[in-house]
Amino acid sequence: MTVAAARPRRRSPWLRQSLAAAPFVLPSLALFCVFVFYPLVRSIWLGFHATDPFGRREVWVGIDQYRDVLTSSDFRHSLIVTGQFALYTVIGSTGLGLYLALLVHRRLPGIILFRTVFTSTVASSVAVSSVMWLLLLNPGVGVLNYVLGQGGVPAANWLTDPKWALPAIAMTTVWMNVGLATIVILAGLQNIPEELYESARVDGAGPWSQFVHVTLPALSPTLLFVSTVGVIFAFQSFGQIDILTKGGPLDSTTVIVYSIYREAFLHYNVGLASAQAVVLFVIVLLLTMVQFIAAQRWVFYR
Amino acid sequence: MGVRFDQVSKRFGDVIALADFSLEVEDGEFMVLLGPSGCGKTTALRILAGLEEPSGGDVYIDGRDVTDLAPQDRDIAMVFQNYALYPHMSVYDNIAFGLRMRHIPRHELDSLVREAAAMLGLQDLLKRRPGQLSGGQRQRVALGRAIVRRPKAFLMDEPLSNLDAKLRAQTRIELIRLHRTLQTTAVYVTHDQIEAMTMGQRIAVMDGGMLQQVGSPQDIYERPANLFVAEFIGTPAMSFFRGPLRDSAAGVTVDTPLISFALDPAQASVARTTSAAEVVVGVRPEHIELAVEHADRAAAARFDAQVDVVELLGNEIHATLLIDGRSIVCRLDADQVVRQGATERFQIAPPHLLLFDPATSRRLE
Repeated sequence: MTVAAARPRRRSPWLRQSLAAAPFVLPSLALFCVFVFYPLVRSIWLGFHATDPFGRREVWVGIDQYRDVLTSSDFRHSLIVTGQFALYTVIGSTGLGLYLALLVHRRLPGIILFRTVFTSTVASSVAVSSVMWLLLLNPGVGVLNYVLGQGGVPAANWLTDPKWALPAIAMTTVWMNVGLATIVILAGLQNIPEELYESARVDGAGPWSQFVHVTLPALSPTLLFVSTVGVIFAFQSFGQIDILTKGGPLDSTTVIVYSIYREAFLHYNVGLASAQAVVLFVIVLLLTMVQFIAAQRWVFYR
Repeated sequence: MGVRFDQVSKRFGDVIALADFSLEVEDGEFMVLLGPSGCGKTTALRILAGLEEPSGGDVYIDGRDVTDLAPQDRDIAMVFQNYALYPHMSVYDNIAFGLRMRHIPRHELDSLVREAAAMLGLQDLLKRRPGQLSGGQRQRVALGRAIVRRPKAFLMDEPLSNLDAKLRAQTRIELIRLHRTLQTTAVYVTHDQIEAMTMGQRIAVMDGGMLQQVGSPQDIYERPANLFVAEFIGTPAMSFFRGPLRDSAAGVTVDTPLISFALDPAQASVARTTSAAEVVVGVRPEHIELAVEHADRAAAARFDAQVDVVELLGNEIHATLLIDGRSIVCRLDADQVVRQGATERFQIAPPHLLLFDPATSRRLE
């Protein structure tokens, strides 16, 4: 008497669900495989190989190349540049985004116009923005020097002075990122219940106390998101650097991605570039993890 | 002393939310603003809190004109419908927030917070965050935040509406006790007449931005000022019959199409003073009784009706009666026997009739 054996075999629920999910997941999985997973694995693989000056002949060198990357002073320099760049752009775009979002949060007639203007930079491409800033920053005919000159500030060679090149590119990048930051922070602001402010007012909180005790805590998940994305953007920035400075002057704007590009496509050292890319990947991964761990402590989710 | 609205009005664009609203709340009184949604009760409360600016009129708290003062300068505390607790602060910090904003010294603050928490049974929850509390506990934290500051007045905006029925009944009693202990002026907004009747020392019934009647719960129930109050207060609602007044040698009667009412001498003299040719007679469901059960009583009216629906509530019966196709509700004792579908004879005892002028909708007295 084997009753169980008589019953038709049933697929496990897990398998059934997976089969049902497959058609939905497959298209994006295919894209991810071709454009993300395969290049990632290939980069790690290439990182273990040295490339000859003509970009051919892959020779297995093991972890030597990774060690070279981590110990080279050039790489350390570009890491510092990238760090500075991330610091400037994240603080700049999050801070400015918060400020602009607070400005346009209130309901006033015509506010929609300002919301559109403040968030419009999200719609302009890196290339267009960079060319525009190339003109604005031009030491001779640029608007920036003209305006500063009106205020008595001496003109600067924004893109050719090693002291100013990175801040100038950071400024450009902040301008490019601030639209997205403003949109996201504005959405966060509009999710804060009005009653919390009313309650705080009755409790005796002035505008500043309301901002500190109601707005900022309620906005903390949004600010975390904006700054995390900002860090990732900063570590991936390439277009504006290629167009504005090409890593110069004196490597003062050679961020990691630009260094990877230079190794791979100007020096044809694909192996070294791949090793750098993998190190960059690990750094961004670690940074994001650190941010989320910090968030456990500081960010409040309702 | 207390709180006073003096001809306060409020317009939102074309909508008049509050019209010429005058109300005086005595010092230490528990006043309930009662009315259907959109009647202006919440607007009145928010104007009192300073969260809304009146379009006209003045507001006084404790004898002082506060019309132009910010909420924080009015020395009031408010309990919001969904509590409005600060989600990232502990219960302790929520309660302490108002005191911190007023720079109360730390040791004093601590003892005030603990005292308020003890009064509401929150001692063991002080370290929790609002997200970790049940609805009833959050409600008490909101109350704690209000009482800790010892304000001149408590303003409450439907504070029980997010609680389940059982908890609501419980919290009602706690609020009554709390008010008895603190003796602070309270203005309480609700659309729930049970809350109003049980908690209010006086009730202000509002409709369409206008004050309809102010009085004790008993006043409002037994002597409603107009048809709106008569219909709004009481569950099941009062039934109304409209018909011409007839004055004959036998007495004054109201001959409505369905039922003819004989008025008692007091009502008759009231009816004689009115110029209206027709009146509306209002009858509470509990004043309609089975004729066979109370055959010995005098009756203002007797009528036959088909029993349409019988709802047994345990302690009483709500019976929906059909008279010529119109349904009215009566409330009977639970031990009375009424069968669904049967036709029974009912009667209405004389002193309970309420007379209204259909033109002005005011009660005749």
